[in-house]
Amino acid sequence: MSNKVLIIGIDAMDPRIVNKLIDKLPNFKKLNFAKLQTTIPPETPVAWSAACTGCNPGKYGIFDFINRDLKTYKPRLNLATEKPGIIKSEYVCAMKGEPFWRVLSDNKIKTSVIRWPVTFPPEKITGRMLSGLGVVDIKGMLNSYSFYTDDTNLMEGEGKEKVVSVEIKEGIIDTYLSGPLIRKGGEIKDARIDMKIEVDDEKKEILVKIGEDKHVVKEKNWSDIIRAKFKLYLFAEAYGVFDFYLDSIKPFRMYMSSVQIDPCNQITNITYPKEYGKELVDNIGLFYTLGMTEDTKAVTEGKISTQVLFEQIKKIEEQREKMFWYEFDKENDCFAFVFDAGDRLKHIFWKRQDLSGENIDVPKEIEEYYIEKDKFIGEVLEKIDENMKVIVMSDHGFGNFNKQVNINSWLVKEGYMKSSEELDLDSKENSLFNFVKWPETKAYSLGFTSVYLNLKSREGEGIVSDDEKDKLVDEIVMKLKELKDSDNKKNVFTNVYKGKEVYSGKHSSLSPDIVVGFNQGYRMSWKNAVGALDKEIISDNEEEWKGDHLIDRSHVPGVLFTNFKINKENPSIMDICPTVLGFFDLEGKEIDGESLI
Amino acid sequence: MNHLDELENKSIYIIREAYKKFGKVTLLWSIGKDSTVLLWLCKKAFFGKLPFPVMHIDTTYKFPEMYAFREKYAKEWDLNLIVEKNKEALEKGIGYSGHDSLTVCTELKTNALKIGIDKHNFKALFVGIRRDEHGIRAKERVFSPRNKEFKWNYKDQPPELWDQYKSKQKHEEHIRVHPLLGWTELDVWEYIKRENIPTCELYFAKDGKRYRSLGCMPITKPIESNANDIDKIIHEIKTSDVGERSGRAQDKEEANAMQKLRSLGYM
Repeated sequence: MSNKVLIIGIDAMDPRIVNKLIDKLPNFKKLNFAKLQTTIPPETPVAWSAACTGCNPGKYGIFDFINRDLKTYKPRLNLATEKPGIIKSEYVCAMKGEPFWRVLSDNKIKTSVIRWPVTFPPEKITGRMLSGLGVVDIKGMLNSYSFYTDDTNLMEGEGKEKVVSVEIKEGIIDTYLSGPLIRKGGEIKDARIDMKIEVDDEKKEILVKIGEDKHVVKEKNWSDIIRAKFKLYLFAEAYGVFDFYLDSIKPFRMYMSSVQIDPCNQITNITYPKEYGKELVDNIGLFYTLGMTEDTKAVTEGKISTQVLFEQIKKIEEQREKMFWYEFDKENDCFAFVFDAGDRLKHIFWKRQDLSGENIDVPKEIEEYYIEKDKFIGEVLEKIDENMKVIVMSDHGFGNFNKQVNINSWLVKEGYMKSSEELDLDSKENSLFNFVKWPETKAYSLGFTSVYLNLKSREGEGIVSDDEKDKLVDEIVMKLKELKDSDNKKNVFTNVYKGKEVYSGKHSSLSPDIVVGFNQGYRMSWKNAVGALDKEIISDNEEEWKGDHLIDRSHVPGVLFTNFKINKENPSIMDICPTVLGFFDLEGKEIDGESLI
Repeated sequence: MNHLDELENKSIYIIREAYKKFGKVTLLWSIGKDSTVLLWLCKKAFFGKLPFPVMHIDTTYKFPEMYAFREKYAKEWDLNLIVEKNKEALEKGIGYSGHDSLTVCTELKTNALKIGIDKHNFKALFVGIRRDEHGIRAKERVFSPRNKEFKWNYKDQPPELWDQYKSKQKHEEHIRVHPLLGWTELDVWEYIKRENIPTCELYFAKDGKRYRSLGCMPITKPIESNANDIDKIIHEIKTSDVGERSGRAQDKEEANAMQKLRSLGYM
């Protein structure tokens, strides 16, 4: 009997947490369990791409969530490249390698892939595909919730551009839905739809009217998923789906999720074939399509509580399980499905703790998530045939995020980066490298783990010649390795890697020259990620975003569960692709990983 | 109760509670309009006479008009004024000519402040920052252990909550209190007008230019403006807000690029 393969990804599942909870995870316990070595760096788009291609990042071209425009140095997200068009944008996937589903499809093996990260836009395969992380909302953002309120305290501060100020007049709110951005005559505006809200104080509910549609939302409750149509230009329109959470009527506080691409009327493709979106809706109901629907932004910007986020995550996972079972019942030889809400859950609900030993304190929300997933795995194991090979894996584990580090501030202090003498650190000049004097700058840092030299042969205003390159890399690497936190004398970095030593392949010339592996508890500052300076090189992280995994890979291995014996004690995430192909007696090209069977 | 009364009440409540809790407090007075409004609120909170000192971190690069303003009102308001400088760094010649602004900022502002806090053993600082100042400041909220609804519930807050901020070490073992956090630039000017609070002359237009905020001379640039009195400034802020929104396409594109980057939860 020929093999079938089922790959279930559970983003950020952590081996330490699994070990701690193992007696409550009877179904995972039935499987073989190993720690899975992850990528340098252990970032979601990097690691999932290594898993599906079996290659190091030099062969698929993703080294960090963020890269930059080589000419202007402007940081940009590296999930899908946007090519703005007259009416709508086209997207090109950032992942340039050859994933296992392409090899399988080329060999006519029926393969479906649902929500694998960095698969936007979807590609043509023998089965069906629904894109995951990277899918934008109808504004072209990874997230852009709205928040309706009459509370002036909530109108300022972070994310204020997403706040819609409302007024209740005789029980009625006249407001609008904000939709896609339209460029017209050098201006950017959002397309809008009128929305009327009738407030019923006694019943503690509201009636939302959008066009002819009416929706009742009760206080402390979510609405159903709603569909709306935005008029863009003459003859052009865009459909979006979203939901509301009514936190309170007095003061009025209502959250609205990002307006997401409607699976039935896709403004840009998110499924292959396109009709698969409608097919799914007909069978499981309307669903969220955004790459990262879990709204941690609304939490960190103080608009919803962590408990509301937890409810949202549960709703998301319920939808995803329905999606899984719908596709599971179809005829596939290979089926890959990634659940990723558990990652966002950990970022927010993580408990800072001493992680030097093996013990770990697991917050109850995270425990609940693992137990739910165990039940799910139990159902899967009951339903599979004996020829079904099961791989359950994560891309990385998790750690503390106590302090943030700004390498650009360090580069300025060490003289490798020259900032404008007139820079006021509190001004908007301090963003997107607006303050940098490139002709006097030798190195710069962006994203969460990347440091680049300002090379003559590569960057727009580069000054470092290829001859000087190696010496300069050595010098900066040596200094970074010695960097200590003056508060506790700890090393800030566990490892500092040279790009040319850890990456190879046709995209490696665009790799960072230096990749930092942070010590447990440290992470890049958010300002560094977007090309800005912090006043201090190291400062406390006071965010609700308490845990993170963007640290050295030695601290955050992922997990690998299999219902078959593997031939290695220390498998690597790059071994996943050749293992999957191995079950079909196939091999990929130029693969760095090894088959585990 | 009108909007300004409401803001004033909240701020005064915060000032009194923080003083009651920490005792060893000081007000960071930059001589700018915000910290001067904060100083005014502190005076009101304690019926005219501040029970704690006011500290000015002097980089030695301030405008002459600012020093004059400081001296005049320190006397007139009978302030216990502490002026702190990072003498060691100044002697080493650290300054805007020859050093990048990050180094200058660290040495002459941050380290001078640390020196001041250590010397006087302050437990809390009143700082006049506002959340609406710049995008980059939007995350400021150091002060606020928040309630379930993510609001700093200044009325019902038990004093124990203040202790959550004791995690800091050494010189950082102080709490920053931001009583003006919810104020906007417009609120500040409307309050200055209502209360008739003196402000440094640099804010008012001369020869078609005025300063919208005050800092060190080498990095503070005036804006084009003919607003030479408070009413005109208020009018300017009200209308320039509209102007900002319909602003240059390039600025909008940049703001949009930043928003896109930050739509990734990691920032």
